Amino acid sequence: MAFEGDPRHLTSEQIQEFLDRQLTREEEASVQEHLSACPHCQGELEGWKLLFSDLGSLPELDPGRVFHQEIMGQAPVLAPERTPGRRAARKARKLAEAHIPHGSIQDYLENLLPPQPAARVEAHLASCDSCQSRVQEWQALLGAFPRLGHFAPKPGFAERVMAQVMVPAPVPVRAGGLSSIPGRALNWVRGVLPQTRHGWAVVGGMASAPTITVVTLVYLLFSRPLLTPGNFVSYLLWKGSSFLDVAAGTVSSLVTESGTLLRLVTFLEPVTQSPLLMGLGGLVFSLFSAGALWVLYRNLIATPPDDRYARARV
Amino acid sequence: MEDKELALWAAKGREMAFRELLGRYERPLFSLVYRMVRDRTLAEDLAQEAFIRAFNAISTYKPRYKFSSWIFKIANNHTIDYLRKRKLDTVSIDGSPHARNPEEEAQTRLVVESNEEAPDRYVESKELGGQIEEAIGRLRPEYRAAVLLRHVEGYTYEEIADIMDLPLGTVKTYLHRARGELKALLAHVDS
Repeated sequence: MAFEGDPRHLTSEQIQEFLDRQLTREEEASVQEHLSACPHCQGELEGWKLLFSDLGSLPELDPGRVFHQEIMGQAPVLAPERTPGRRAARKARKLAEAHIPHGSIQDYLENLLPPQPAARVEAHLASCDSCQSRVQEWQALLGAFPRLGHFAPKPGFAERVMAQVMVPAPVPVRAGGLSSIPGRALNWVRGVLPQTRHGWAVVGGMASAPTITVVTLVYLLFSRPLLTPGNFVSYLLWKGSSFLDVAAGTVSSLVTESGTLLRLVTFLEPVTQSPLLMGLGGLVFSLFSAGALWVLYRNLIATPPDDRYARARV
Repeated sequence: MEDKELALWAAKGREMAFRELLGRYERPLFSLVYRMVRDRTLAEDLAQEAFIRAFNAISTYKPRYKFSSWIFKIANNHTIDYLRKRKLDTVSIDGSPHARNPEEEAQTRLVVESNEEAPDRYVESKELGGQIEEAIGRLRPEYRAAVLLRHVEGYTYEEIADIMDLPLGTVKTYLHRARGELKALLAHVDS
């Protein structure tokens, strides 16, 4: 043990710490060993003991009310903590008890939950033993259902049913060939025609809107006294031919100025002069148009509206 | 051949198409009705009537809908109508219709004892005697139908809503409650 000042004696700090029981066991043993052999330090110790004893017997003094008020006036007193209200307590209780509802567990096990709620359920399950055991219970129940099979009615069930079914008279089917074409065409027309009021409304709307527009325009034109249909047709022919002249001039100038177009026209010239090729082109174009119309029909008209099969209750 | 095509052929008067459809749906339809009424003879009668109604109205079937949903709808409506009518007309041996829970229903159930068991009853007790069958039998008819359509026939919630003529939310509620009751009933049995 190192001693400050006179290395042969204990320092005052060591003696005070000894009396305050602040030394470690080893230090305390060392001090006691020294004290037992050192009369000087024993005297010092007795002096410190008296002081400690006097300090311990000092009476408590009353600082007075003013002192208390002054201290409290400057103290940074915090606002008193509120006790939680009923709503807050209920919310906290709900949070603590926020287990997965039974409905969500069922939906989760049936893969009916959207991705985010399913992820929340999985995250909760990873940390909640109670919900895990509930999920296992539900799994056990859902696992029991596949064992439920089908039962068979008694033999002869089909015969008893068929005996009371009024089988409609079979529709005669003609042999193949040209004779069946009108029938098939009729069936096709029946299939294409709208089968619901919704479909007829759409077709009616699509057909009537341009018709009404054209009729209105014709009426407005020919309601003028000086304009007759003959005059109007002559006017249209005149304007049409002049428009075609201008268009042909523009196209020919474009063709002669553009090398690519010229080559294209040269390539297509034999095609435009062959009636067979022109006819084929027209046929392809017609088929394409018919296909496009059919697609439009299937998507706009033939798509069933969201009405349930109300006639199923028979 | 798909059900829809068969139905179209049947509508044109092809008997073989009827027989094929009957063969396909005989067991599923009978099973649904049997589990609903828990009486073999009665179930055969009701299933037979449902088939006859459906086949005689085959021309009203629209191929844009699933044939199985259409025919199950007819059978389910017929069975539920029968059960409702029976509930109004007679005293149920299955317990009071006013029972608020399965326990009360069990307490008010009439006990019919017989030393000799009828052959049909014997078959039924074997077929529907399992714990889960017993538990399903104690559900309300609507809950029973929803559970059977979902878990035996494998229909989606939307299809069940179509078959039972109910909003989707109601079907969900029915299924949740029905399974909750089944869970409670089976837990009671286990304990």
